[in-house]
Amino acid sequence: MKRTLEVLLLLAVLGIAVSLVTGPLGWRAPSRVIMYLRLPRILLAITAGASLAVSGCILQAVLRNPLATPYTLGISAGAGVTAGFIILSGVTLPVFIVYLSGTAGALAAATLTWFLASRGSRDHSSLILAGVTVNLLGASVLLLIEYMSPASRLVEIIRWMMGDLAVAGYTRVLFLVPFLVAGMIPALMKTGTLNQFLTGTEVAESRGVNTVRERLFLLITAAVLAGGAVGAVGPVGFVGLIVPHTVRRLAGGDYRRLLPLSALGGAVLMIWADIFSRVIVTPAELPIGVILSLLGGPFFLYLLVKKPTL
Amino acid sequence: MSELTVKDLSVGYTADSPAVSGISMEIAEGSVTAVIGPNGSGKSTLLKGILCFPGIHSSGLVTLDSVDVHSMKRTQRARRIAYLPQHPPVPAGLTAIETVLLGRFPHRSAWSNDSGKDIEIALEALEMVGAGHLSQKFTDEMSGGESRLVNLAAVLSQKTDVILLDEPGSSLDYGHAAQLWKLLSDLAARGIIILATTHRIEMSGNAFNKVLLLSEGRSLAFGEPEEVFSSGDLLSAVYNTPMEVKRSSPDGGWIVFPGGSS
Repeated sequence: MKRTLEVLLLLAVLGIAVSLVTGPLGWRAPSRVIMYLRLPRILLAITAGASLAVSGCILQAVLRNPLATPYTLGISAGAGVTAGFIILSGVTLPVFIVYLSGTAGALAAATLTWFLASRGSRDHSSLILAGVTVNLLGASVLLLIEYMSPASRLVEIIRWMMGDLAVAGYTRVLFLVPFLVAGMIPALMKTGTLNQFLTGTEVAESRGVNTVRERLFLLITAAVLAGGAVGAVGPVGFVGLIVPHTVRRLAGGDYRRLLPLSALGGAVLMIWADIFSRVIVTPAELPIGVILSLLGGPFFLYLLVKKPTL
Repeated sequence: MSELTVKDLSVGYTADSPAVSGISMEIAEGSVTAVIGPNGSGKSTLLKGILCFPGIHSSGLVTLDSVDVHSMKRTQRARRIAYLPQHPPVPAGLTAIETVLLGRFPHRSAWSNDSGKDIEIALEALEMVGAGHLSQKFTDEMSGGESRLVNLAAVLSQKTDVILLDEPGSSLDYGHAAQLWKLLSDLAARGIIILATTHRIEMSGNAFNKVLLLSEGRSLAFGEPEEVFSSGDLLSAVYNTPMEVKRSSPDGGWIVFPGGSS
C-alpha cells in the first residue's frame, strides 16, 4: 500500500505542477489566470475524480459486479435528461441551479432504480437490472429531446454529455465540495462493511451486517458522490471503473486501503486526463469525457483479457 | 450449558410455500449434528431459516439458551452463531489472513483496524484448519479446497457458540476432509454446537453424534446415528435406492453402501 500511496502522491503533485503551467503563456501566464482559471480547474478535477472513483468503488462491492460504475444506477441518464430539458427550454438559470438540476436528475434516477429493484429482492442482480432499465429509459428520453432540439441546442446537449472542466472561479468546486464531504465521510466509515459485502449477502448477514439497510445507505452515498460530480462536470465515464480496478491490482482488495487510495487515484486520473485534453489539440481543448472514453475502451478490453476481479 | 432449540420451524423463499416445514430438534452443546438427505430435501434452506436471512420466510421458534435467535440483534447473533454457505464468493485481492480477519467483524467497530488479538485469533484459526502455510496467499489464486479451508478458518475466527456449515467437506480431498471432521469433533468437545449438512457421511468418520434426516422438506428422523441408520428401509426409500449405512468397526467411522452391502 505504501508504494502505491507514494506513487499516487507523486503523480498528483507532478500533475498539479504540470497543470498549473499548461495553457497559453505556460508558466509566464498572469497570476490571475493561474488563480482563477487553472487552480480551480485542478481542484475541480481532484474533487470530481475522487467522487467518481469512490462511487464506483462502493458500487462494485455492493452490487457484487466488477463492471459496476456510478452509471450502473442510471445516474448518467438521469442527469442527461434534466440537462437536456434545461438546454432545450432555453431558460437562463443561475449556474448553481444548473449544476443542482444535473445532480437532482442523477439522484432521481438512482431513486427510481432502487424502487424498480424493490419489485425483486433488492439484491445486487435486481439492482443492476433496474439500473440498466433506467439507463435505457433515460437514453430514449434524451434521444427524443435531442431530436426535438434546434441544431444549436443539440450541439450544446452533446457537448454537455462529453463533460467539461473549464471553469472561471471556484463556483463549481464550491458546489461539489459538500457532496464530496457528505459522501466521502460515510464511505470511509463503512469500509469494514464494504469488505463484508465481498463475501456475499448471506455471510455478511451472518457476521452482523444488516445488508438491506447498509446496501441502501451505501447506494445513497455512491449516488450523492456521483450525482454531485455529474452536476459539476457532466457525465464523464470510466473513472469509477478504471481507478478501483487499477488500485485493487496494486494495493489489494481490502476496502480500508482501496477506498482512500481510489479517491487519490481518481484525482490523479482526472488531473492528467485534463492535462491531455488541453495539450492534444492545443490551443483548442478536447472534452475530458473524450479523453476518458479513449482510455476506457482499451481498459474494458484489458479487463476482458485479464478477467475482472472483485 | 448452551442449547440450540428448533421448534416447528418452517422455512421458504416465499411466504406461502415453505421448502422446509415442521422441523423440531434440541441440540445440546458438545454435539456435531449431520443434516443429511437427498438433493432438494431442504438441508441448506434449514440452515438459512435458523438465521432467517433477508428474503427467507420462516415461522416457528429457534432459541439459543432460551433466547429467540430471530429476535436477537444482528451483532449479538453474529457473536453467537457463525455460518458458512456451500459456495461463498471468493473476494479478490485479499490474502488468506485478510479473509480470515473478516470473520472478526462482529467483535469490532465497522471502521477499526485489526487488533493484535484479532490477528492472533485469525492465525490460530488458519493453523487449526491446516492452512497456516497459506496465510499470505491471495484467495483468488487458491484451489477450491484451499479456499474452503480459509473460509472455514474465517468461521472459526468468529468465535461463536454455534457453527452452521453447509457442505463443509465439499471440494476437500480425503486428508483435509478427515482433518475437517476431526476438527469439528474437537470443537464440539470444547462445547461448541456444530450443525453441518453433508452428502458424504463416509467422509466424516465418526465425528457426528446426531443425525437429522430430511426428505422433501420434512424431518424423517432425528437422533443418534445408530438409531437413524438402523432402518435401511427408511434410507432406501429416502434416497430411492437400496442403501445401508454401517460402522467400519464397533468404534469406527460410517461406511455407506448405496445399492446395499450384499
